[in-house]
Amino acid sequence: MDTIILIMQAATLFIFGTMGEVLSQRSGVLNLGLEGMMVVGSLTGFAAATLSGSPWIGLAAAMIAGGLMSLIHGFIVITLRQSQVVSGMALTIFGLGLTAYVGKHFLMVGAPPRVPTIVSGITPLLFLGLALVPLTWFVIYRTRFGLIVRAVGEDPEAADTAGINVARVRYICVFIGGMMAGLAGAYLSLAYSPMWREGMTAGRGWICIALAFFSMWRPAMVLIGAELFGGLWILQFKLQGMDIPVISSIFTSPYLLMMIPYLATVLIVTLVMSNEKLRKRIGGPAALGVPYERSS
Amino acid sequence: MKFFLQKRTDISAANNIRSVLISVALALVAFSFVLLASGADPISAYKDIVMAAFGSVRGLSNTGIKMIPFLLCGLAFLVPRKAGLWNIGGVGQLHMGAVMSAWVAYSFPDLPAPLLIPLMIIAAFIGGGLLGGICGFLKAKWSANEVVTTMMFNYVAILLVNHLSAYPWRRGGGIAYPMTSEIVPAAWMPVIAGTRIHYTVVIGIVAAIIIFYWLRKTKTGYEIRTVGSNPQAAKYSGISSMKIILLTMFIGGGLAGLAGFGEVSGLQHSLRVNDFTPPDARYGFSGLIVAYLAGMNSLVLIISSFLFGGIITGGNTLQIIADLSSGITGLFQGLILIFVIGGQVLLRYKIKLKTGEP
Repeated sequence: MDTIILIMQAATLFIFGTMGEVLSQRSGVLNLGLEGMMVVGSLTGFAAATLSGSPWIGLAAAMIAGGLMSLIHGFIVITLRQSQVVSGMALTIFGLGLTAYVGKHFLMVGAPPRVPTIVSGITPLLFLGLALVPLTWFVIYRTRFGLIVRAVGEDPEAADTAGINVARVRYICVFIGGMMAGLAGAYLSLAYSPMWREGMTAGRGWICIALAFFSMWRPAMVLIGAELFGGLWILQFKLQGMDIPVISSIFTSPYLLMMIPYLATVLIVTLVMSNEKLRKRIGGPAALGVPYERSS
Repeated sequence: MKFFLQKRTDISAANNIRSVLISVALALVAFSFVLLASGADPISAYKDIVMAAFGSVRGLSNTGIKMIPFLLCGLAFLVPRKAGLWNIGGVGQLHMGAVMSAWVAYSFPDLPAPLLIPLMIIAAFIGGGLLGGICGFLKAKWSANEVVTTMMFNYVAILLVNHLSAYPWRRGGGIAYPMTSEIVPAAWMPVIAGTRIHYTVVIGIVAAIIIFYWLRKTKTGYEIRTVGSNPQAAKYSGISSMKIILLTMFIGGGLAGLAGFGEVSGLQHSLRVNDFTPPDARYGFSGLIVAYLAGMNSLVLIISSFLFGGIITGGNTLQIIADLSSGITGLFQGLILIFVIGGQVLLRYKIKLKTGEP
C-alpha cells in the first residue's frame, strides 16, 4: 500500500508536466523547455511559499512563472517562427542556469511551508492530478476549444481559412503548458520533497516529454505512462539502496530497468509512424514542430 | 502601426555571421544586467573571463580541454542538420563512444599504445555511429521522429554507463562514488606538452576541415545538402534519402562517439555514474549551441567551440573570484542561445513596418 502511494506521488508530477506538454503539442508546438520551466517553478514556488508563508501562494506563483517562461518559447517559435527544437533547448539551459544562480539565496533557508496532507502523506494535488485526466480528455475531445486546438495542430492552414487565429490558440496552449510545468515543479519543491536544491528536477521534465510521445497525446495513456514511469522511478531508488550482490543480475539492475520506458517510447513512436492506419486513428498533431506562416 | 516579417531571399554567409554577432552582442548586454544586479562590474567581469580563459597557459589548457567535446558534438549536430535532421542525441552518442573505448581498453590491456588507441578510436566511432544510425534507420524506414528517438537514446546510453560503473566494471577498494577502474596507461591519449589538452583536439580539427570539404565539394555532400534543402527535388533526381539519412546520422553519431573517446582516453581514464541530469548544459547539448554560433559552418565551428570552451572556463573562474553562483555559466549559455536563435529571424526575414495599407 505504501509503495502504491509512493508511486502515485511520483506519478502526479509526471501527470502535471505531461498534460501541459500534450496540450501544447496538440496545438502544434513542441516545447523541449519543460525541464527549464519546471525547475523555475520549483524555485519560484519554494521562494514564494517561504516568503509568504503559504504553500498555495507558492503554487500560484510557480504557475505564473512557468507560464511566463513558456512565453519566451512562444515568442520565438510562434511570432518569430524559429526552430522549436533549439528554442526549447535554450529554455531548458536558461532555466537551469537562472535557478542555480538566483536559487543560491534559498539554499539554506530550511523547509518551506508544505502543501497540507489529507491522509497519511497524500496531498490534494494527487487528486488534482487524477482529476486532470478526465478533465483534459473532456477539454480536448468534447469542447469547442479542444476542437480548435486539434484543428490548429493538425492543419493550421485549414484552421486559418476557417477564421481561427492560429497564433493566439498556440500561445494559449503553450502558456497553459508552461503553467502546468510550473505546477509540476512546485509540487516537487512544496509537496514531494519539500526543499530547494539546484537542478532538483533531475531530468523529470525530459521524462514528461518522453511521456507525451509515449501517450500519443491521449490523456488516459498519460495516466498509464505516468504510473509506469513513477513505478520504475521508485523501484530504481529502492534497488539502489540494496547490496550489490543482490542486484548484480541484469534483471535487477536499477539502471537497466530504467531503460524500459525510454525504449518503449522509441518502440511506440516507431510503431505508430510505421502504420498509416494507426497514425490516422490516433490523429496526432500533424503540424507538430512546423512554424505556421500564411502563404499569401 | 504594426511590425511584420518579410522573407529574405538573400541569405548569405556574411548575413549569417552578422546576425550571430548582433545576437551575441545583445546577449552580452543582457548578461551585463545580470552581473550588475548581483553587484559585479560587467566590464571587469568580462575582462576576468577573457584573462581566465585565454590569458595563461593554465587557462588555455582548460579552454582546450573543453573545446574538444564541444567541437566534436557540434559536428555531430551539424552533419545530420545539413540533411534536414535534428540529432539531439549527442549526449547519448558521446556516452556510447565512452563505453566502447573503455571496453576496448579493458579487453586488450596488453596491446601497445599505437595499436590500442586507434582501436579505441574506431570502437568509439562505431559505438556512437550505431546509436545515431539506429535513429537514422528508424527515421528512414518508418519516419519515426529523430528528435524523440535520439533524445530517448540519450537516457539509454547514460543508464548503460551508470550500470557499467555501478556493477560489472565497478572499481574495487570501497570507493563510495561508483566508478570503473582506471584504464591502462597505454590507453591514455597523449597530451600536448605542458598542458592537459589531449591530442583528440587534432582529430576534431581535422574532422571539421574534412567535413567542410566533404559537404561542399563532393557528390555525397551535394546530395546531403539537396536532401536537407529540398527533399522533393532530391527524390526526383534519384538521390536515395535512405542512404543520406543513414550516412549522416552514422557519421554524426560517430563524431560524438569520438568526443566520448576523448573524455575517457584523454581526460577521465574511467567511467562514472552520471547524476542523471543530461541536459544540464552538458557537452552533447552544448554541441547544438556551438553549431548555431558557427552559423552551421564547420570551419567556423573550430573557432566557436574554442571561444565557447573559453566562456565555460572563464565563467567557472568568475564564479569563484566574483563569488557568483555556479549557475552563472549555464545562465549565460542559455541567454546566448536564446538570443542567437531569436537573431536567426534577422537572417531569414526582414522586419518591416506595416503602414496603414495592407
